[in-house]
Amino acid sequence: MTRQVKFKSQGSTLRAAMCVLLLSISCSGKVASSNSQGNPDDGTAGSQDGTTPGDGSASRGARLGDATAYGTTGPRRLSRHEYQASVSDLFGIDVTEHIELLPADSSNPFDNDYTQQVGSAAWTEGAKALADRVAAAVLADARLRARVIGCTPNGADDTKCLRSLATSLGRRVLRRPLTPAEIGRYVEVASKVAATQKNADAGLSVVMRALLCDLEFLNRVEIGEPVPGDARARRLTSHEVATRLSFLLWGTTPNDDLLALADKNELLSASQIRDAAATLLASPRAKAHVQRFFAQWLGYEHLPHSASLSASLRRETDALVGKILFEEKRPWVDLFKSTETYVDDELAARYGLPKPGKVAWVSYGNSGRRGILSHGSVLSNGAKFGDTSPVARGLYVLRRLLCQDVASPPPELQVDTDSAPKGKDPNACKADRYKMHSEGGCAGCHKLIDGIGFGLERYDHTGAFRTTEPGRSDCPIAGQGNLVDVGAFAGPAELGERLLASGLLESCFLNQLFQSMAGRPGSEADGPAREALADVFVKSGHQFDSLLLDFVSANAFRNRLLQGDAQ
Amino acid sequence: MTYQNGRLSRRFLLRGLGGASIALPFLDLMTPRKAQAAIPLRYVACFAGTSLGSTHGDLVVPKSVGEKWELPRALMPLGGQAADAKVPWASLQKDVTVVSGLKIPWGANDAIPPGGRPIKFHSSTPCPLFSGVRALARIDAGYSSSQVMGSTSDQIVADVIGAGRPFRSLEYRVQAQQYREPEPNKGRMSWRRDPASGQVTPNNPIASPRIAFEQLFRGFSANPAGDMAPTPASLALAQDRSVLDLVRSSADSLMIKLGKGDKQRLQRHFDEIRDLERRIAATGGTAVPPACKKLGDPGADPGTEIRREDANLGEGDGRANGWSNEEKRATVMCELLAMALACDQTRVATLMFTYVQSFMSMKYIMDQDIDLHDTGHHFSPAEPWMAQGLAWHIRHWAYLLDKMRATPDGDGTLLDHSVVLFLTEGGFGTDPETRGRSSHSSENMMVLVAGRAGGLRPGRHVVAKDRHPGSVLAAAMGAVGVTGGLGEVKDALTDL
Repeated sequence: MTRQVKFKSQGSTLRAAMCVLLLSISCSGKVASSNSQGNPDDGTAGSQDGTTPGDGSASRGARLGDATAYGTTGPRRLSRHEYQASVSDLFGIDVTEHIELLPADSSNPFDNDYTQQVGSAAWTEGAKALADRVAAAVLADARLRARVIGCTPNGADDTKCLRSLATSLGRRVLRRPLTPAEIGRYVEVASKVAATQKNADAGLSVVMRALLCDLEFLNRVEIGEPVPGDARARRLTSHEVATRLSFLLWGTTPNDDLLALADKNELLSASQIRDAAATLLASPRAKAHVQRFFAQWLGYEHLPHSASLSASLRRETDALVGKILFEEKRPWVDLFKSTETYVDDELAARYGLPKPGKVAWVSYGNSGRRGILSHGSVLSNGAKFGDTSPVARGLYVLRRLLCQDVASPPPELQVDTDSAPKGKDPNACKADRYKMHSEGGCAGCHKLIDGIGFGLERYDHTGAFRTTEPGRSDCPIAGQGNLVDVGAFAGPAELGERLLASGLLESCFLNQLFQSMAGRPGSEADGPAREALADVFVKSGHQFDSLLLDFVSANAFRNRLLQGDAQ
Repeated sequence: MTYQNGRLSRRFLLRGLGGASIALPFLDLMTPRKAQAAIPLRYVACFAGTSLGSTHGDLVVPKSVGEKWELPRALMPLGGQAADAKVPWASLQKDVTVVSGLKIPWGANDAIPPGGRPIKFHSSTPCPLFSGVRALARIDAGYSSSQVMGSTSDQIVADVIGAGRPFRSLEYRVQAQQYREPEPNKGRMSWRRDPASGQVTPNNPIASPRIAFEQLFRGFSANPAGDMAPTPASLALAQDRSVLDLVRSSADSLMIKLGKGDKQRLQRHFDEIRDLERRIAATGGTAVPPACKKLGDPGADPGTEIRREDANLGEGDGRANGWSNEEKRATVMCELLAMALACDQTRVATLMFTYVQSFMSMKYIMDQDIDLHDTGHHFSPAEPWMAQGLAWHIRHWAYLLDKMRATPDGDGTLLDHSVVLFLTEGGFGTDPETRGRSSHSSENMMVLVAGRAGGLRPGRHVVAKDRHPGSVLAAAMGAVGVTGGLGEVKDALTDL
């Protein structure tokens, strides 16, 4: 899926890079840029880029109107997280303690890449084991029985309650009304079990478990309806739109309200979908879902610190995302400009800020910090060799924030990336030990990478400020960094500024968002959709909620491109 | 006609038919030599995601060759109580042959030799090791070479001897998660070329002891005869059958509504449902071998703890690693696997102890807050630490062997009628990436071969200088009647 673009840059620095530099643009056909600085020339021979650069934004914006602009989609299996959320919503049961029964999802960095999902006995058995537990939990609890089943069978031969369960729970679990034939089949098989075992609950259990193991529950399957004049496109049904919306904005199965709209076939037009989406976005669940998107994108979903520090860091960044994008609805770029942060005493002390006495917003003052890049959650990335690694940090910024990938050192260089650079003198200060990277064949790549990392060196891998290396007061940290073709910077605040000014950050953010929404890595085929998204974003004043609303109300969202046979 | 151990290779027949998948008559010739006893043969491959040393293998490779080999430190648990006070079993040394000196060749991206690997080490050896087919070139920072390009040995064997059992093959993994940089292929060792699509797809292992337990003993206490009072187990089994009946018929009607691309994507999931339905339908009511007993309930799976390597180690690298009580997981998985074989639920299995380039914490194994992978990089010399890590794997592997040895099977023991392999990710010696000697080497690899299936003669140290490890796998496959080599490795080692 991912295309590697041999990177032949017009930038003289990049051209000078001698170590077979592959900036594999894994999340976009090219690194889009709103200013030409550092814009790659990907028009090299062999490029298969399907996009036509240089289109006016008006026609690009119109492309979201194309039924197939969303690109290829395929059946998406529920991630563990989506499974957990769905079961919680459907049954009122928290399966967190059992979720390890399902194999872990891949992470790229999002956990929902359907191209990585392979069926296995491990998954099928895990789903069945979870279904067994959920059904048993429902039957053992009067409150849950009332909520999920809603009727009490009048003996083992009573099919009425079974029918009611199959009808109501079937619609919720499979996210569409069941046909009379389907309902009849559940009733027939389950009632036989109940009668044979002289146990009405056995029948109810069979229905619940069969629904929870259903291929259509465990996978979001879109069948749709034919689109006149476009054999490759399918128009989604109202129920399929409800499912898309709900998983996109909440990460879970559609609720009753959405299903009711779908039952009435009122999720077809742009305005209908937009209204439904606005309702979903107004909920704290949308906020939590978006906070999780940022945590996956920026790599702080699982922080490797003590539980209390990890919780403080996560709370800090979640608060900023919630405040900027949801509570105050400010342009998303403000995430990188915020002059205050949400900390407890411990975190404030770590950052060198005044202790608030409770968890509160505290001004960064003249600490030199600004925005999300100054958070310990983000700065936790790229630790290596017992400290921050300028290389790992540099790669993190390139990959996550700029959507660029840099090849591993070529074998001729004989590099052991599992050991810290020793330099000529292993006891020298870090900056000196890393100087070997600026020599010979290493220089080309490491000029791109290390300069970023060294600009963040004054912030350790928990986000604390420092001016000398840990345990080496004789090694001052300069903290000066450079982002090739973008500019020099010192510290996360300036890095954020440079990234924003370059236009590269917003473009990468949209690529990451698209990948997470589509549930697969981007490919050149959906370049137009992503460009259109970028235009929409600019037009809306970089408002995150407008972006989502414009996206879901576009024609592309309520149609699908049939998956090619090759895939 | 090819005969191997008195059996006509069914695989040979299949090849003669151009690999077409058609039902074959079960010729008399293909039944085992001791047809009256009809003792099945079993094939098990186990894996440890570590290398054997950095510059030398003194703590891993036996010094002497032949039958009188001394146990090196990493293999001590095979020696039983006399050699390792921590283990309760008698020596297994006579049940195991050590094959050392093996080598997976390498080459530049555009010149990877048959059965070989690209220069960059991690994820480059599993493909040739498991399938005998050369790995893909390593491009960019990704792990393209981790894709396995041919059917792995267990799957080739399962095509021949796996049919007719509840599980055509079983895939288990001990290490719960990767704990860092998720790369799913690093947690897989079983791949199969799908006869329909021609694509090589992974068989994801079961990493939950809980699931493995429930799957194996489903309906185990069901009454074989219908005239007795139903037990809770037989009632549950009847319910399970109805559940899967519904799930299967629902899936049937879904699949016919799908376009080709969607159908392809869901096919494997659908196949697994069908397999589960078939297994559940076949469960219970049949006699089981006398040695087949339901094991004690292992309880819930252990929780996971993500740790950070101790920065104070100086050489530790401060990255994340993890622990999910793999000690207990390994014990349970080995017990379940031994019982699955004893119950004749399957005849082919893989057991992946640790991930390729494993980030499992060694905190509870050797009291160092570092992961298994880093034992090969952050100590000097690395050997003593790597040997400890390897010995942990060997102890659990020996536990599996001991269980199999204690299980009566026909005229001998389960181990007598099995071949059980132990493979590692790397060896020690030349590292083409740094051109020094390091743990990033596929020289001096070692494969341990236990069991006596097909006339194997265990109990020796065999040096097979620069032979491909696949040649040992091919010999092991031959021991259960499957000849023809492994992938691009055509020659089986003869001296086993």
